[in-house]
Amino acid sequence: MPNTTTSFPPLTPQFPGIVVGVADMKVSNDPDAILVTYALGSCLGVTMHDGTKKIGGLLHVMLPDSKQHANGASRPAMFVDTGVPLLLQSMLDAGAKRENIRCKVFGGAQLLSADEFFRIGAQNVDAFYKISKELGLKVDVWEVSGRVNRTIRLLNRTGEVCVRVPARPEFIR
Amino acid sequence: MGKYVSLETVAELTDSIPSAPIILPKLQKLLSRKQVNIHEIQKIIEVDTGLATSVLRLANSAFYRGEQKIETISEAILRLGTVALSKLVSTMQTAKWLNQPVQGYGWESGDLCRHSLCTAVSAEIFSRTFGISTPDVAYTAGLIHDVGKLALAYAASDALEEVLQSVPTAYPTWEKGELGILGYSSTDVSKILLSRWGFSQTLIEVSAYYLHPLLAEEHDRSLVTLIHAAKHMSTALGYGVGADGFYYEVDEDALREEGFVEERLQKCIPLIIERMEELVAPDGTVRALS
Repeated sequence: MPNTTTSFPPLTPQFPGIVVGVADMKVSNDPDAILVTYALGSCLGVTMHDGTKKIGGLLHVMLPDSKQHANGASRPAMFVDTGVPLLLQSMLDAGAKRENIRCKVFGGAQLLSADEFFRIGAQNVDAFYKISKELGLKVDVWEVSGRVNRTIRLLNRTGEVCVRVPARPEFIR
Repeated sequence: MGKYVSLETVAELTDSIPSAPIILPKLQKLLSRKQVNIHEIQKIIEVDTGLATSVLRLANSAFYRGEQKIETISEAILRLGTVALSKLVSTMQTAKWLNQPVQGYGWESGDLCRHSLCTAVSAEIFSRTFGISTPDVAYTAGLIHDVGKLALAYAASDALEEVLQSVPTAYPTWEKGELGILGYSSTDVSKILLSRWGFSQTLIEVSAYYLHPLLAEEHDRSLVTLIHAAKHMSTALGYGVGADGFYYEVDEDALREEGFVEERLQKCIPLIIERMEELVAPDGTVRALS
């Protein structure tokens, strides 16, 4: 059963959090930091967190495979196969210990009656599963698929992630 | 007498929502003529302060600015040219209307505007990629495809709340939920509004049938299918998607019939994102309106 969000600090114009755009990634070692990314749709939001050092990272990837795109290498945070290793390396560079890093993944929503077209959500989830196995990531939460647009906030102090979906109460994973 | 407001009432109530894009069809007609009458265009733009400011700002931007600063609307029109001007006018007029705070569809502030902008950008890029329609018509069609939703959210938010509670348990799709509970859907509202405002038959056809492209008149079907694809792309990318967003069906037969291929659609995504980054900030603020 998901937790409630009463302990989660709200974002305000004065305290907008660290905003991660589409095809973007941020890491912070500030324990009070909140990393946020908006409206994942079929994209994936991947969080990594070292609970001992209070280092957190958030990645917003859109597509599964950089090799399918001519300029794929120029924006590694756009793709699952390059974005996830980049986030992991950035966590290590910021001082996180690999054995302490826990991972959570959100998004990958699926359109209705989409068997041949717009299967980006399922492809992203499959690609994340594959790369997480290759990298030996400890993935604690899979809040993926379904028919909802998710906005997520990572609280660096605890590693908790607050999930917001349209017209429903927020919850913590 | 139904439980909720009728389709006609929704259309009537729309008159009390400010910023309707009513000058857009007239301006587009003027801008699409071979012989452009700058004086006539100038007269229309000058009565809308926000639009006039945007036209001057764009004409003086690094991309368009020449040696001299542009100070009048007529100079700005000459500097920008009809294609850039048409796009700016469409964006400003429609975004202002779609950006209004209304309840319904589980939207947050600006969601419908962001969704329509991404549909417009995707439509423009698909038009170039698949050789369907023209990029500027596709862009405008993408912008206006969902205007009826704003009117419906304004006039019938209580009914939309019931739809929200009924999809997918009682109705498998959002459209079926609206039809079952209201007796009409947002596309019916769009059709009436665009007709009342004097938009072209092609754009009316897009707004009426983008959910079911195969029902569109044959000569407009390619564009209607293109908007179908662009709308679903915008949803998949998450731009301004409310509670309804993932509850519309993809018509794969229609997409195949028009020659769409999944691999080529996906290859358009980096370009769509690049363009959207110019229009929408990472926190969702619509730059075109700020």
